[in-house]
Amino acid sequence: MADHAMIDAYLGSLRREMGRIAQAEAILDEVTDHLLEAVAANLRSGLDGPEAEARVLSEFGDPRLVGRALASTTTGGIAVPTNFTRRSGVFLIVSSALWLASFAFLYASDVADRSGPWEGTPQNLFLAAQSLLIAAAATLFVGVVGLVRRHGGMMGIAGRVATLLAILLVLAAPVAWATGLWSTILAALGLALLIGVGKATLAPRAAGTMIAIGAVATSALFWWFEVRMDPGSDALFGGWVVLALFVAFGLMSTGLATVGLWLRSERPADVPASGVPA
Amino acid sequence: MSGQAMKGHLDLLLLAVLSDGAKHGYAVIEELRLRSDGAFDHPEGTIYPALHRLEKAGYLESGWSEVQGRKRRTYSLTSKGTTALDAARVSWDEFSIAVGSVLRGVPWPTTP
Repeated sequence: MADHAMIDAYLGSLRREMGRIAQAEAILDEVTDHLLEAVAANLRSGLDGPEAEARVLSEFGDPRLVGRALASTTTGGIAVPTNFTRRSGVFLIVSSALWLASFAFLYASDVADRSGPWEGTPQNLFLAAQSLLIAAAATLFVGVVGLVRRHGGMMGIAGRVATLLAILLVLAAPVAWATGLWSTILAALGLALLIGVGKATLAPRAAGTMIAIGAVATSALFWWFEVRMDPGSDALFGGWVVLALFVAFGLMSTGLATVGLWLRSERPADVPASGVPA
Repeated sequence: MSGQAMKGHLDLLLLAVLSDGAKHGYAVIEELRLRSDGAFDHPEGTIYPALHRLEKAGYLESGWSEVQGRKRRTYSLTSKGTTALDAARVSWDEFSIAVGSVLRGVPWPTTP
């Protein structure tokens, strides 16, 4: 387009920003059609050539932002509630109860271990805590997938990395428990969720912040107690730490349940008003 | 409605604009601007990622034609998109009535 130098330059910038995505040529064809039609409309309204092009490009937007948005579309989806996102809300609500229950069983196993010669009881309770933890991680995984679907993509690099990290950490949680990396993994999960909530607005901000702060606080308490614990002692909990841990777990669970209720409260866009799935 | 508020409902606004028939991107934006009485003032380039997302999700479909020597992509609603729009309209009406009732201080409509 020798007679549209500004538009040529803009399309060049757009191509660079989009990078090597498969649909780049098709997108550029579509944008070219838009820009030239808009220029023609501006010329008809009385602007001269350079003015018409400058106005059109200004209205189309910064090529860096538009190009990145166009490129990220390839991994995005529609940002509306669906039947799946609504059902994933149930998983988050269940997950919130399972996290709390897993800690309660862990505490019970610790109490049983210290308070009497009950053959096998502490081990059974610890096993139950582990099983609940695995179930909590699995249900949280489904819930996070639902949140990502509800968001629809367009999360920016920080949001995408944080979300991916959160999903990986949820999957790693049971392994982390077994290998003693529990507090580190939980802290990273909390921070990832915090960034994800902030940068990608994955969930309502207040509830998302509760989850993140709860996870980080839980991690800090576990870590602090491990550092302070007698090397020769088998006791895991004691004093105010138990109460603080219950509060931290409670905060995380309340946040999860709140996000789950939010997902549940939205009418799915893929189900007509009559309630019959599309 | 402010431009920022409109952005939050962009996907559904696009479905609504396309419910009248197939349109290409420029026509969609012109229609959005016309129907919103100028309230839609976002960078026009941000409409295309939204159109692409809606197509990827199955709410829209597109086809190519040639107009004045240029390739033109035209979008239309799928049956899934029509269903989603119908549901969203019902949901929006309920929301609008509820918020309107609170803001104007009138009682919530009750069924007889």
